[in-house]
Amino acid sequence: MSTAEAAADLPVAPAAWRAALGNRLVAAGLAVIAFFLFIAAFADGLAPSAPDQQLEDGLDADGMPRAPCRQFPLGSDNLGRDVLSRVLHGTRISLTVGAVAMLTALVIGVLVGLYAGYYGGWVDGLLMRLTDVVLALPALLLALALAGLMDGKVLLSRPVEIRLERGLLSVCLVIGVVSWTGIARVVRAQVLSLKERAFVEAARAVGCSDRRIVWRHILPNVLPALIVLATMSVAGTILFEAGLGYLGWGVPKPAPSWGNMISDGQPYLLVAPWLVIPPGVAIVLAVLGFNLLGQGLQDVLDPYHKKRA
Amino acid sequence: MDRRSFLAALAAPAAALLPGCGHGAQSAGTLRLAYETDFKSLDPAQCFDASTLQVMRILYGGLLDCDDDLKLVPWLAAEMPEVSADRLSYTFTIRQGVRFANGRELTADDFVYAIERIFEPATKSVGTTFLRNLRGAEPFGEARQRDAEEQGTGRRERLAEPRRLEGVRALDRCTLRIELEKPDLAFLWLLTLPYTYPVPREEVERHGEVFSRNPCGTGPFLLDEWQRGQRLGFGRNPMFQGPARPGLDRIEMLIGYDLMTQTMMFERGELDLLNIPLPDLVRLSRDPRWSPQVRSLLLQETDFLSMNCEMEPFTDPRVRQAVSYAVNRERIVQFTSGAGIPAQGLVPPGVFGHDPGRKGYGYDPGRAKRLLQEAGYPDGFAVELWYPTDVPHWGQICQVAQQDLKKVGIRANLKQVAESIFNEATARRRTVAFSMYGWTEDYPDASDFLGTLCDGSKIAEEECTNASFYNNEDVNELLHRAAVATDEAARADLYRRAEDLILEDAPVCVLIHPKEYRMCQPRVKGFTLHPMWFVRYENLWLERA
Repeated sequence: MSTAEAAADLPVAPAAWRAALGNRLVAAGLAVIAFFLFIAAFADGLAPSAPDQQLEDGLDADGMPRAPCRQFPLGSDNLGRDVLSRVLHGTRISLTVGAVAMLTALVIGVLVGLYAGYYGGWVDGLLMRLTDVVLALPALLLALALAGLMDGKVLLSRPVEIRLERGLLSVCLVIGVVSWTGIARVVRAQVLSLKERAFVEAARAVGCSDRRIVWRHILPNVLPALIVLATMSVAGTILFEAGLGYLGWGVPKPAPSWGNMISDGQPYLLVAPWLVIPPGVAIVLAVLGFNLLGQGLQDVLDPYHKKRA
Repeated sequence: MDRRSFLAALAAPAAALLPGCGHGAQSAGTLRLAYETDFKSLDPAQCFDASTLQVMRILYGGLLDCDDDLKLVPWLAAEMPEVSADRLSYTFTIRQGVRFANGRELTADDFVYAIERIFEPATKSVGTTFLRNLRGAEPFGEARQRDAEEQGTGRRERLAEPRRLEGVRALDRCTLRIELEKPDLAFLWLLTLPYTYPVPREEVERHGEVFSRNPCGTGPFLLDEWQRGQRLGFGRNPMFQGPARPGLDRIEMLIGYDLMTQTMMFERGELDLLNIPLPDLVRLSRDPRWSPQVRSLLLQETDFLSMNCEMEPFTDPRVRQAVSYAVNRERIVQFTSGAGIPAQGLVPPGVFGHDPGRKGYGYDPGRAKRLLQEAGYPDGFAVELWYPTDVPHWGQICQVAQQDLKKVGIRANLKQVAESIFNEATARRRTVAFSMYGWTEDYPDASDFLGTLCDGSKIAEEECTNASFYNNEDVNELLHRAAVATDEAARADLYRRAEDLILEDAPVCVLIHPKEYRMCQPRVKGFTLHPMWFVRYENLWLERA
């Protein structure tokens, strides 16, 4: 197959990108995401103080958080830290978790879906039952159980020491490990129909190995669906991180993740609502951004969906 | 009692022994309370946290009680005991006419039964640690252990010798003699704790394992409803014989409401007592409607950072002293809205052996840095600071300490772990180097702090209460001498010297003695807080609207 032909096989061609950018939902979603990416990249410069700095004048004479004022545009929290700085730095954590957890879920989901769909038979049975098992357990409970295992136990001591430790990375992995099932199912369904198509038949006829067929011929055709799924799942993982943080099992304190901030601020809801409103708004906006983008991409990339809509 | 089990108790507590029934226009009524979690057991032998302790006092009774001035007073005993000259033998006369809720009269034998029962493994009591000094307790406990191993835990016949606990005997129906192995001036305090409250043998044997859910005691109330995880109801015990008649008809406890919900319910008038959560403290105590209802209590508790003296880098006393100099206690008090006072030593105010003139470590980061340099850590070091999840504001305290430590180069990474894991790990040798810890008195005596937390001879591989694994021969010697001293002044002096040495070695960085704030509806009368019992429901009454 020539490169030109290969490129024609990919629906995500430059023309498709242009179409996507013309879509209003995509544009809005991208704008919101770009906004958050900008904040995440320049949080150090934008934030008035370090996110964990307990400021001398951050509490009033009674030891209570300060309401929004000129010095603290969004108020200070119960430890005298600047809420604005924390929300800005929290963007970094939330986007990192969103992206890394999504990638984890994507890798597992794609591997499981591709091989289950392509090989069928007992491979399919085994992988799909595994998916069902994970799907049958409530994701949050499963994540809490996994997070509970992260108590510093040494998993491997040689050749490198691997500890089950709570931290940014482990939170990402935990979320990824519980949220790949949807991806696996969609990928499998797509592969099931794709593998009957003529171009796969042709590839097999010219003697391509299974591996080449799966990765070079089938995967590119699954990409449109994957892009939509991945975008939407970033929104899901950001929410998931907030949920874990809220339950006290997220990124360890004092890291300013949005979920941690809401969890810390909740007892102060009646006396200092500015502790929970900013991170809450940030979560809503970020989730909205990724959902808009996902929705828009779906409209652009999936003609059937568009027609129905 | 460690701080965590104590905090399991986030609801209500206590009052003065009101003179007789002189409540004037007292009327009856139902006291409405709410708790976050249900009680695990209402068996006095298994009582471990403060909320259960309060319920024990309305269901049961002990030989002695502790009054408002922290003085021992007779309770089920007719008077204070006769003490032998060698301070080893105590003879009690039991009050006449006291009855259990099932109608049977209380006798001295019931105390013997209750105390011997503590040593049966099937009772699963935590009280044995307190009663080891009873004469013959050790062989008696071992014999019961052997019985349990040989015949399973179901049966209660005693086969192995000795079959009786030598140190506790009923001389006749109303005379009880208790003998000790070694003199202990703090011993009588132990008799105020629930482990020695009499229980009726016939009820324990009838209910077996579920006696913990079917309490039957000599107290003013009895349990008449318990929907697990939802509610408990207590009605008056018709057999109760005074001295003071209870001022309440009923006590209702709702289970499963967190503090925030409790606060809202209280403000709507749906609850009668509230343990004020820190975030709402300033708001409620400024509110003219509620401020007269707020009561505060300086807890006989010390919160501290525990440093494991057997683990690097805390093996070097200079490092430990540096930590003590590095932390700004005033700032911690400020962060907790003043709900506490900076601690100068381990023994809190109000506890026997507290030295009011003690000056502890001040805030001196420069000195902390120099000490670290001398100890060979010019650039500081990184360490994990463990703290349990279940104490609401400990996370905050740790974060404040974290920032102070960072200034002198100590990078403390916070590690929040579940309570059960925390308790297990910190009590195991060479496991946790640095942790946030708290100790609340079981009884107001220095032995409960210094003896429990700093006696090097009690270091064990597991379940060790000396969480700093601190071992100083001189301190051990002083503590052992103090434990058996029979002269109050000399005893206080020995504890003071021991505490001097301990603080100099700094196995702990003392932070604060916390304060607790509670409030009641205006209709609740007789509401005061007691350092040992917190709220005494039995002393409350309600004013008719």
